Amino acid sequence: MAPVSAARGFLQVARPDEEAELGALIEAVARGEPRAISRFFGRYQATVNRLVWRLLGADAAHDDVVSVAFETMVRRIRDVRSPGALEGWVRAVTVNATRMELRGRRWRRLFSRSIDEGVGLDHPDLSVPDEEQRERLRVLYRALGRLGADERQMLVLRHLEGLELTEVAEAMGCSLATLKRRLVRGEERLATALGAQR
Amino acid sequence: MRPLDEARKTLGEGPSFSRRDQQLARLLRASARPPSRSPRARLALAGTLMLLCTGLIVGLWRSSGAPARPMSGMRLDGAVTPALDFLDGSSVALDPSSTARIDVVDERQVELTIERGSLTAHVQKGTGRIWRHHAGPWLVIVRGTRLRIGYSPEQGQLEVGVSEGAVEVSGPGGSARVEAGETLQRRVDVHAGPTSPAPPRQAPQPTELERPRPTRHRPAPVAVEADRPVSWLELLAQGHRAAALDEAERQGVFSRLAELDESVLLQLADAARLERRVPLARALLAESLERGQAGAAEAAYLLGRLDANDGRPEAARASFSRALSLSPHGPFAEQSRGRLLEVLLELEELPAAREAAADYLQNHPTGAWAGLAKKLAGASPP
Repeated sequence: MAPVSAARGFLQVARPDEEAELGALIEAVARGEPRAISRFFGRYQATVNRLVWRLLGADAAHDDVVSVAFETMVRRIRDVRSPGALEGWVRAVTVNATRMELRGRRWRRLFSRSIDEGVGLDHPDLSVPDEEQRERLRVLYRALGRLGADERQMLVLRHLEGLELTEVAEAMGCSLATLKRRLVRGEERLATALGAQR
Repeated sequence: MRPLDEARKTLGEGPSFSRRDQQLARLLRASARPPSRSPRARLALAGTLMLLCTGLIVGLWRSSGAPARPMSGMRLDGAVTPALDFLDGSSVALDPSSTARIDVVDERQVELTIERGSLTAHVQKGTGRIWRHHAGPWLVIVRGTRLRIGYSPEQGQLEVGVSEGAVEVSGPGGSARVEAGETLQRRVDVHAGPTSPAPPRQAPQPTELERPRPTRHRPAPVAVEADRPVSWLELLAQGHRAAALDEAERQGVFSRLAELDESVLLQLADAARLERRVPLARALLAESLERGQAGAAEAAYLLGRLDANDGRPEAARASFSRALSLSPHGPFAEQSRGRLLEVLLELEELPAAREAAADYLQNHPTGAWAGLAKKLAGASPP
């Protein structure tokens, strides 16, 4: 039977061989071994990049946020309670790093005259040749910008990233009941914000 | 939430691989810094932070997030950082007493300087990146190979051994091509020249110890650089995509595609794609695909992206499937499987999409499309 380990109250299942491999990786990263850090980055860079990319909306600050997230992970990797919880923990740290950036943006928007301040979509690697698609993205991220950082993150994790409710709750550090309640409210507020732009 | 569903498709999964390499380099650099732990240091930091706060509050709403800085100047010490793995599959491993510096990592090139000692590099083929290794007055240019470079500044000696592919060496002693199985040694008389480090133009006369095969001795590139017109290849390597394409077109390069090296072909195709010169990008990718060499899978994947963007899901399906059949576990396999999944959904071919989802999960259980694939394959979440 596969070992079962607890992470923030949710059950995670990992294969024994995978668990041993991850345990060794965590230990090596904690010792600061460059090759292990490199392997750790290689293993999770796709997840972290995709999350930040979607949460911020291909923002120019993308690479800085990814760097902050990984530097935090390397510094605090001993916080991971068990190897099976590593992936969820990586998501949670990434969501935290992104939350800081989103909160900073709300302040910037207060003092900005541009409605597109902090909307994102200004990363040099973003390629959306179709102008209509690009405009629809801008409308969406403008509307998401009107929500609180937590609501926005919940919506993106659930609907854009396609995570399960338990995974979203784990990444956000809240209970399933709270998540469901806030998701419903977030969806209503997003629909209103989108409607206001039409 | 339909707008969010659409955003998933149009936003994509993140920045380019070269940018991710820069992120890794930045992480390794940051993790090599010793943390400051003394109370005095913390107090000083707190004071500095308080002073900075005022400036930050003023500057906060003015800044809109500076673009990422290009990675430069990362130092590698064989005793501390014995190896560095790049996301495109390339890697550099240093001998324990060796030191090197990575000067540039970007979309098109990696430039590193070997300060002393030896390194072994595996440069992945078909990535479109050019690797330039500087070792004193010498330059070793690589496009996809396995090689070992040793450099001793004290003895003024360079040794290049190639185990796969070929490299070009230039500098004192002239230019030479070194192929798999060959070793090239070059030496300059360090006592005859000016005090170190000797600039390439003033480098003393070389003594060639061994040549891999007879080569025509051309003047070293550094000696003629100032008067030479900039070629389209150089424009491309420097990232001037539009100018490089214009110049290549002016020189009739696109009517002689068969003469082009595969890595150059893919670089040109990428430039054309990013500059929205779609027919040209298609022609270049089709040529690469037809050759069936190492870059064919990448070419098929990129053709699929063009097809999907042009609203041709059937063609995109064929291209992504071809990319997978050419390289089922290569650097573009995950993206090809994920995009194929999206295309099949767009075509409303649910049985095929479910099959593709199962294949995706088997190969990339934590990949970018895993959430979507789980839903399709009907797998229960962990």
